[in-house]
Amino acid sequence: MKGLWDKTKKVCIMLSIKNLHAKVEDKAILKGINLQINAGEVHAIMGPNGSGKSTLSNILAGRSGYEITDGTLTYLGENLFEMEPDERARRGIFLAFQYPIEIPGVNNMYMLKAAVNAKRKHEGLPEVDALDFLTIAKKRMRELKMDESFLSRDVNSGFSGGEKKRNEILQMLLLEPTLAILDETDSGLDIDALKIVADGINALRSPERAVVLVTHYQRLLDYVKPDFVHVLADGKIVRSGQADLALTLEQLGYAGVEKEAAE
Amino acid sequence: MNMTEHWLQQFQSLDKKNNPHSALDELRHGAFLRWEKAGFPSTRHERWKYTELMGLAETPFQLPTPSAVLSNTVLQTLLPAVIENSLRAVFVDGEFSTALSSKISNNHLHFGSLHDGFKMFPQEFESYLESIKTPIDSIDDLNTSFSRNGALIFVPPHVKLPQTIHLIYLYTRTPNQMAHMHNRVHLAEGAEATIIEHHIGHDDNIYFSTTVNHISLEQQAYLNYYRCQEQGINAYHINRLYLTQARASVTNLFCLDFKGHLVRNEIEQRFIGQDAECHLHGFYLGKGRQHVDNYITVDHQVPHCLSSQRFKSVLDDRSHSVFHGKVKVAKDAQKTDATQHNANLILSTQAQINTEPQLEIFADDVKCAHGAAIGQLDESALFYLQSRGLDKETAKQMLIYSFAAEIFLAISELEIRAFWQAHLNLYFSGIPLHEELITC
Ligand SMILES: Nc1ncnc2c1ncn2[C@@H]1O[C@H](COP(=O)(O)OP(=O)(O)OP(=O)(O)O)[C@@H](O)[C@H]1O
Ligand SMILES: [Mg+2]
Repeated sequence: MKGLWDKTKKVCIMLSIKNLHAKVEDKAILKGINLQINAGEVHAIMGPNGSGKSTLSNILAGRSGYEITDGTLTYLGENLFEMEPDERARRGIFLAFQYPIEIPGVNNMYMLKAAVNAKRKHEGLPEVDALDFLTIAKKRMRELKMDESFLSRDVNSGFSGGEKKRNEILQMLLLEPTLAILDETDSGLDIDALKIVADGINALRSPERAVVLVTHYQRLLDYVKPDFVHVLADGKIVRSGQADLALTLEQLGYAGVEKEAAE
Repeated sequence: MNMTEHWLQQFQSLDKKNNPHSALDELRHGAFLRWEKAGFPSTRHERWKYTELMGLAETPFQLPTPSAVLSNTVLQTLLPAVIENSLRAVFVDGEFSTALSSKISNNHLHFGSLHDGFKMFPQEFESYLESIKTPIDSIDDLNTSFSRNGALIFVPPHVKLPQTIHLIYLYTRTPNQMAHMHNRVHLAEGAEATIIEHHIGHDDNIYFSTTVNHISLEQQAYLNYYRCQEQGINAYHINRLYLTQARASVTNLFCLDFKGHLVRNEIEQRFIGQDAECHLHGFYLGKGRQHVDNYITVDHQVPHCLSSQRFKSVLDDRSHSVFHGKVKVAKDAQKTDATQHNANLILSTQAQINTEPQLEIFADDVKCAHGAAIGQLDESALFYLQSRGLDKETAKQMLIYSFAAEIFLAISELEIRAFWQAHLNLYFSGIPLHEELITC
């Protein structure tokens, strides 16, 4: 892997966020985020509404509209700020949206295939043809218990909340990202769907990949055990710990944990 | 020679070619006198508020001379792809071309000289005279004065035309040429037809064409009609379509505008029998300095009819789109259901739109909805596609295409839908667009 080899810890640094400050319309949202994510790790980010979790996720994926006032973002040794969102995606960053966008008129299967082929082209691989793609997509859909008819529908158009989330996971499984950022993919899923989605995430887990789970609930973390849990509050990571931090959060609430951290 | 003399000379040159048919000639002369007096309508005319015809009025357009017509081999290259199971009738600069057309062995059809056509269908002549007696404005008179050719399609009761009629109008390379056509379609009770009116022209020169269509549907008749123009980028084109629908008849009409310099499409629709339906769809792709004006009137004169208008445009550069859609509901036309929608996607700050959806309702128990939207590409959709690895240009094209595709997906005849989608793809230069959209 191309990333930076951290000799002391014998790990490969995939993403390094240093002192990240960001504003939206003159309002400071991120106020100095520091976070290192190594290959093979799963990080959970939790935190109250409006604390900046989606902002951070969007900035990682390259969404415009944010003013970066300070800090650096390094992905596999390269400056992320110099890459357009599509280039980031082709290089392996994937964001599952908290609110997936409906795109009426754009066929789901067509979009998925175009996305997969854009990535393959970047990697110097031949494009997959429609038939092969269909076979792969259908297999993944069976795993996600998605009806095949979703392929012929327009991207997220008229999908229920849970169906949209599954469609995000389908995209993730097809694109096989190096760094997957899942922004509240578990919200709005029923219990069975949560298990299915968790299986999907676990299937992706490997020493070469990393996953960032933004979530409000312990439920998902019961299925996908994180290596680290971070608490984001008011634009800063106020607490980091292991999987058990999530449990503490569940008991004390964010306010309790923040108070504990302050002491 | 001033313009008045010029037009007179053109009219007289035509006189020599005409077959003497007293009633027809008398009418033409009458129309020409009115035209001479009125000239082109100006923007002071309420109907022509947003469409300036000055450029037309100043150009000495000429009727084609036989020597100027291109060879059939050259013309072949202009012809569009063949639609399966279709009958092609090709007109070159307004004249019917037997060589380029399908062999016609259907006695409900006539292509070419109107004079000959009315000999074949004498019973239709009265209605022709009747229909052109009351012009809306001087454009009708201009067309009546100069149109000697066209398509006559008269389908008898309960007959379904076995083939799609593909009327192809080619405009050749001669500068300042003009062509005027007159088409008549009559579907008798329970008759069915699919007709394509397709205008294709060269980019090289300025030319001018008018087409006036009179279409009438008797009860329970069913018509699919596609009017498409791929005129040259310097072409002036005025197209007027009168449509009358009797009880329980159905029309699905698509207006597809891909090119042209100044294009005016009119539809003057009237319901004269209950339980009829009229669905009008339109798409316009504007580039450069193109100007396309859709001027539509749907007239609910009787109760229990359903009409819809759905027009979309994608405007780039300095293109200009005008949409004027009027729904009239007469006092007695209770239980009318009319919708009207015009949506525009603007890709350039210099593109211009005038949209006027209008309702004129005199009945009280009706369902009418109208709306207009003007927007830019959805940034969040663009980001979503980019975040999946698609470069910005591809993502944009995908969104524009999807905006347009809605109109095309409303075409229920799959063969023909594929035909027009292929056109749309072509105009989205270079981006391969994709059978999946059709087949999935
Ligand atoms: N475009 C914007 N304009 C103004 N404020 C914004 C904009 N985008 C985000 N914000 C603000 O930034 C803050 C952080 O928002 P963000 O969506 O990152 O929160 P979050 O942690 O993801 O919350 P949630 O748990 O509810 O999803 C909020 O106060 C939000 O209102
Ligand atoms: Mg959020």
